[in-house]
Amino acid sequence: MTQVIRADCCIAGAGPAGSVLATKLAAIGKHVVLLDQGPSYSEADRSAALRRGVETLDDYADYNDNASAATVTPHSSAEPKGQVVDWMAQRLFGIGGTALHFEGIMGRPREDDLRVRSLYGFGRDWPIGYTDLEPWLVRAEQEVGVAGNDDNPYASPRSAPFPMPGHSFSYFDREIFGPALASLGITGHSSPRAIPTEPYGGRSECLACRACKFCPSGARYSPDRVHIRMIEGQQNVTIMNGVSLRHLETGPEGDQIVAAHALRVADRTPLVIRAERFVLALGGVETPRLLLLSAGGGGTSAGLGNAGGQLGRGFSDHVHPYVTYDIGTHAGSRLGFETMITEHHRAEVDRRDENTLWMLGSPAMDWFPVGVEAATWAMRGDVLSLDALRESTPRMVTLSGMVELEGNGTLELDHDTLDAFGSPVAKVTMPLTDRDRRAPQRMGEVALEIGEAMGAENVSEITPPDFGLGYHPSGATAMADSPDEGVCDRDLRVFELANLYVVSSSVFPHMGANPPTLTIIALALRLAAHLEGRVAP
Amino acid sequence: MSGYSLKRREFIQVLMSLPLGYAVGCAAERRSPVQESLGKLVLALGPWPADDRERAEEFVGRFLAAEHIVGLYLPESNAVIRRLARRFPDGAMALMELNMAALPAEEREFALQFVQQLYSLVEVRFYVSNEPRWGECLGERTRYVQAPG
Repeated sequence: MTQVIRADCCIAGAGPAGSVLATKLAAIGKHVVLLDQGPSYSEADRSAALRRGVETLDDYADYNDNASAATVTPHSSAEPKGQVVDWMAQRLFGIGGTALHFEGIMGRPREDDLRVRSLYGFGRDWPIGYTDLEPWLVRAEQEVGVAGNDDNPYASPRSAPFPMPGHSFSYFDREIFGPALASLGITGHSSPRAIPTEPYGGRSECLACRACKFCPSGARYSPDRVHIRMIEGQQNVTIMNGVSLRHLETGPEGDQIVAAHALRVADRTPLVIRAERFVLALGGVETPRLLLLSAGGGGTSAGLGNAGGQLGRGFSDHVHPYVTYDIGTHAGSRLGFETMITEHHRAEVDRRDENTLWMLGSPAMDWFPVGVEAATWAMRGDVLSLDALRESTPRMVTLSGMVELEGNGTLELDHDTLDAFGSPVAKVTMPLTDRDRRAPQRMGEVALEIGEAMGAENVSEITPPDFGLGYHPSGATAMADSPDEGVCDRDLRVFELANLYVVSSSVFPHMGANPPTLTIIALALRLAAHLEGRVAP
Repeated sequence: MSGYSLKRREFIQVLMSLPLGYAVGCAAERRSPVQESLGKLVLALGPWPADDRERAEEFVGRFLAAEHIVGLYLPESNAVIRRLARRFPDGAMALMELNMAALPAEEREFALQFVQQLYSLVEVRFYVSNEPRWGECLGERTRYVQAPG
């Protein structure tokens, strides 16, 4: 029998956007239903996953490792061909979303990231400006507890200080990486993190466990540990994990959503949610997919919000190139994350020709297979010197980049590949343009200069520019001033539907080189204010 | 956090794609011959000195139990592993070097990939670098800012 739930607002997706939004609406007395297809992970689950990683020597143990295809929806991508590269999503489904395991980097967009079309002739402009967004970025930093220092000469203006001081630079950053950058005219600065340096909102300060994915101390922001805990047990909030939203039903006039149809993952029993408002916060892939799957009659036959043919267009991501060094001297210890970054190549490049990037250096990252290079570099003629290999291991350093793309991808339904419930999965076609490939090449050149400045004995080749795609899908339900330019308006309401909103990285018309999470949370706070009838923080 | 894992996992797949084939057995109390050989290789090529044998043996137990390393072996690889292991004296630990020129191509290829894999593991790297175990909360936050001792 179909269960029917009624609410003021139905929010699909309990990642950072959905969780933050739910707390704000619940706080003003709205009855909120918050759905997520994935499970709810307890602290015991976290501990077990960490322990499993140690016991099985799986440095990539993660929350969804044992989840079924009904819990983690697969996707497909275009075959690598020419300039189209295989797109690989790093999926994580569950209460908390991908912020369950993220590294807590809270970078801001730059002012000009929001105006790339009008200033530089590529990508799409945002319909709102940086000054509209900035107060919400401040609020987002406060909401999740960002530690940072005001030492970034490349940053766009900020109207308030970080909630708390940033993390001290590591030995490597202070003594080796920072001076090397400085010798090249580049400033290394603090890396804003949602990892407190002092107790914050009931969370402890970072305890240097160096396993940030599971954050045993509970310091790093994770929606389930912060926002979900605020609303759990409240009478006006219903949190449902293991519920897969299948499609949205439009009313007879086609101008509003009347119901969300879902299935329980465990037993496939149906569920209908009727609400005044519906919000999709399903991330950069599942949000556009759900709009495509909800195609109905009349004006929605090509998907909800697709009157102008923009749904799925402008899909983007970051590429993450890497370089490994043997710096010839002990690099010191790692806190578990990078304490210094540089946004030099966001500010000091000609964006008419080049994409921007930011770089992070540190003693070799935990997940990175530095043994490959270290063993290769330990060859002495035909002899593999294991002594040299052991001596070099503490000297291994990685430099990673996060590189902006033009955003020429598309997301559509793959009718040849169905999910566990029989619906087409999302198919991503991800072309990299010549422009997209120039920035990693530039990073490769800079990496050599940095290596030389650090006195590195060996430098690896840079990983291919398509390596690492799939962490920050964005852009496929862009906000815009008209349906001819995007899928939702500046208030995140889907065009031509009175009560449907979207909030995720999928609404970014363009994504700069910064990680998206802070902006997503800022937009969720802004949407909450809009739904509450407020207009400014 | 983890497409970074793709590269590493692809690497593991490379290791697995070698014709390493043998059903290692489920939860075996006694080690199979190929398991014995792999354990011997870990001790000989790994970083643990003889006076840390207990810790090394504990690692070997987990290494062998970890399915992504020892699952789905094929007979040809089994033979390569066993031949390579026979080149090391019983009880050898933390050897200083490996003369690759003395090895047939298959063993040479396997030995290099095995060492690359072993020294990519966080636990091994942390051991070599004298780092506290991964996931152990240190409480104090000064270690990472200090010059290495």
